[in-house]
Amino acid sequence: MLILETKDLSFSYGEVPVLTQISFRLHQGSFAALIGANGAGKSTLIKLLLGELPPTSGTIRVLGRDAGSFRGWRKIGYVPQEGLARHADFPASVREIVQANLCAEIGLCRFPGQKHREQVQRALELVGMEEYGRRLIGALSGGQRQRVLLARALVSMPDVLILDEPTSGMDQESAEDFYRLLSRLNGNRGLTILMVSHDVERICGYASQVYCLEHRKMTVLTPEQVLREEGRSSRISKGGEGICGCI
Amino acid sequence: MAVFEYAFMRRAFLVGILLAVIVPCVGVVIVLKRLSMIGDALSHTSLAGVAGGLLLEISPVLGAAAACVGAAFCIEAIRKKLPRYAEMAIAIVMSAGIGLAGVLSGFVHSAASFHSFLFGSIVAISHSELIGVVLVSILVLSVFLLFYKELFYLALDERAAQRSGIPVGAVNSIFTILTAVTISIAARTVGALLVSSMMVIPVACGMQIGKSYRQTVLWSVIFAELFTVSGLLIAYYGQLKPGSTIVLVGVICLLLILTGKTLYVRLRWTNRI
Amino acid sequence: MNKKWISFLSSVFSMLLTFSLLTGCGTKPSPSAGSYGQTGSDSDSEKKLSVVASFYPMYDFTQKIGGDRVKVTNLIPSGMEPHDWEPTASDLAALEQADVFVYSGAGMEQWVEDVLNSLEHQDLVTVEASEGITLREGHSHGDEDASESHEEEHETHHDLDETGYDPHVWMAPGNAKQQMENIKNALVKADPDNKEYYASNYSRWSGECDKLDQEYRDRLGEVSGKDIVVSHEAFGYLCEAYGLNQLGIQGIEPDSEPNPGRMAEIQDFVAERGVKVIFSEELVSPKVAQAIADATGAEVRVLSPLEGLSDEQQAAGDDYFSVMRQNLDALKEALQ
Repeated sequence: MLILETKDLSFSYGEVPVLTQISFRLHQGSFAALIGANGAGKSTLIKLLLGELPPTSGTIRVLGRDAGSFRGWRKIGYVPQEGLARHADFPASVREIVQANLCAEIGLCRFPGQKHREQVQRALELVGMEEYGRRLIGALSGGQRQRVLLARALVSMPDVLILDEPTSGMDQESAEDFYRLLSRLNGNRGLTILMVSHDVERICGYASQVYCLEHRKMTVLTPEQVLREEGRSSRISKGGEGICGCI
Repeated sequence: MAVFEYAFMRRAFLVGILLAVIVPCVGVVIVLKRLSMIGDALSHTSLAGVAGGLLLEISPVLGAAAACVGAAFCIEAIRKKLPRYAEMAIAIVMSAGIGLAGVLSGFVHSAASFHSFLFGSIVAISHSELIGVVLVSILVLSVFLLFYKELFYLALDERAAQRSGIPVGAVNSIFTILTAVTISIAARTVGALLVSSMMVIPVACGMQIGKSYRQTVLWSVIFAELFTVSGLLIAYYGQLKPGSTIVLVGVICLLLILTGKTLYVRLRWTNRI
Repeated sequence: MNKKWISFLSSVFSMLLTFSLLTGCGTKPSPSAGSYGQTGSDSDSEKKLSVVASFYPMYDFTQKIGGDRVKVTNLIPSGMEPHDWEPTASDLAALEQADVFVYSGAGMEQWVEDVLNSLEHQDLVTVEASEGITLREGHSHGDEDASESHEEEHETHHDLDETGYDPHVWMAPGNAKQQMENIKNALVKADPDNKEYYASNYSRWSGECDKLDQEYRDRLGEVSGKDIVVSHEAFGYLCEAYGLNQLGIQGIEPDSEPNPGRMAEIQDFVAERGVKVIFSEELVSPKVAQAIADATGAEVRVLSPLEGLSDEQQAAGDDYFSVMRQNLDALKEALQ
């Protein structure tokens, strides 16, 4: 099944073009990486895929439907970049944050029940944070907070997980743990993953395909192709230009 | 106790206790949305509403409520245009409110009604005012509880809330009205100048103690009740102005908590060594 | 985004501009001199003395002494509470043009000193009408001794700290007579040609003051009660003159509400002394008086401190004497 599909997707901020004729297909069960230099338009593409921006031209299909009229966004899990950094002192427990994503499911003017509490616990278990349910979010480390955000994205049992540089700011070991966790979710539970990353080397160790954004265009490569490209050209820095080997 | 033999004191306590439930509930969401100065802005605007109401010879309470709701929606509208400068929206509306209140006050005949809106009127609560406070309290508390989880998510992360399927626009509007109504009622009893303190200080104390959002809300209410009851008793026995006394009790309590925490941390640190 | 922002801002600004223009150019009653209906008799070509009075009793006295040789304007419009009032630019302009300025003094008009200092008009004859009157000291609560809280003193900072005196001198007819005399002297100084005219007016109205004083003595001489509960302590001189005792809900000036402790004291006082009437005023909200009355079974009536006339009183053509007689009726009934 096709989770995400774009055809000739183009987008401009006013007069400035950001993406030109992007076409790709994300199949169920894939673990896809989205890489490219800073400012290449990765976050913009994510926003388009989440239906937060309307395309200037071209189509986006989410779970088989046009993104403009798609209503089932609960099925799309999203972990933003350093999502809770600015909320580190927000007075909320881990459970409360994870449960928040169930608001729509619980319904307006209704209160969470045992079923929902169990969903929250399961989501925490998936990310290995089940012991931390009652802790204040501010009392956790950066890596732990990102896991909580992951649990929040998983609690509504989405079909696809989109992550925007979830490991930026994490130390090497935590980042590695995070990637392994994602890989487990992808492998064991068939969760489709699309992840933006600057850590090209590491993600190529886990991803099944790589979407590469450069000069407003996208190339779809295999991880091996990317690693070869990186190895060959010594002037390529992490996530720097020319990584896609195109032009 | 002698103090409770007086009907006006019983009413003052009842009103104070009811307000000390709804004001911090609204206050928690306000503070977490970084709109802490909104209490100030709306209560100053409610003065303009009072003056307008007195001029038009409609109930000043209605005038205050209408002005508050209008101003709250203005703030919300400006905030949507400039989301990172919400405090500027509040300052703009506050200036407009004070300016309007100043200009209109030149036409208003009875200065004392104006004064009671500035400093509160908790010793002279009429029967109809009491009923009004009870009804509004029930309404505000019900709405707050019904939308408890949505308001939490909106305060935490509005974009994520929208993504998860919450009707953010509608909930924000409901909350805006709730805020405006609460502030215009509270301004009547503890005074316009002190309303925002009542919204913020108990919440600040609650945030020091609470280990989750729910605990924060509960502690904020507990602290607000503590300040109100002790403030009223101190004002009675000490012949002090009730509104200001309540706020000062709150400030002192907050300072004690903050110093207490710092001392505690330092003591633990030195004990370790 | 930019364009939308600009158009949004422009519409906000134009709204604000329009609104401020409307209020600036409006013909609504503005708190400036020359208030509607309170100017003196409009004669035609005669050159009249132009007098500015600070608030109602001064206006009334001046009008009586000056008759049709003066044109008096009252700075404070009807319905406004004088303790809070501040003069505007147009009021100062009126003073620059006037011949005589009458104010009561003793701390009633807080703004007088600043205003007089800033005037350039050298020939303005000013008279502090309360000159020569023995002033009472003002406490924050007439009944209490010095156990007032610091808070209270700061609340009524207006005249307590400045002069420490009770400014409501005109409430005793004997003082009113003295004030009229001072005003007469000022008018004579500014307009010596009409000296006899002013003197004969003074003679007539001082007779009225004596008559009023006698009425008060007669009718209040035999009442049983001596205590009155009033909204603010404006009746010190009246009480002193006729052997009454005032308990003010608020202090020397009606700023805000009494604190809870004070409320309790007043209620106790009313219950103990069997006070049947709580007096309120035209220009102050009767809310607190009503609350006390409800709690004690008393009634609320109006006792005017003659600080200003309400719109109804204006329409009925009341003046100092008629209102003082109304007050006498109310007092007689309450103290029966």
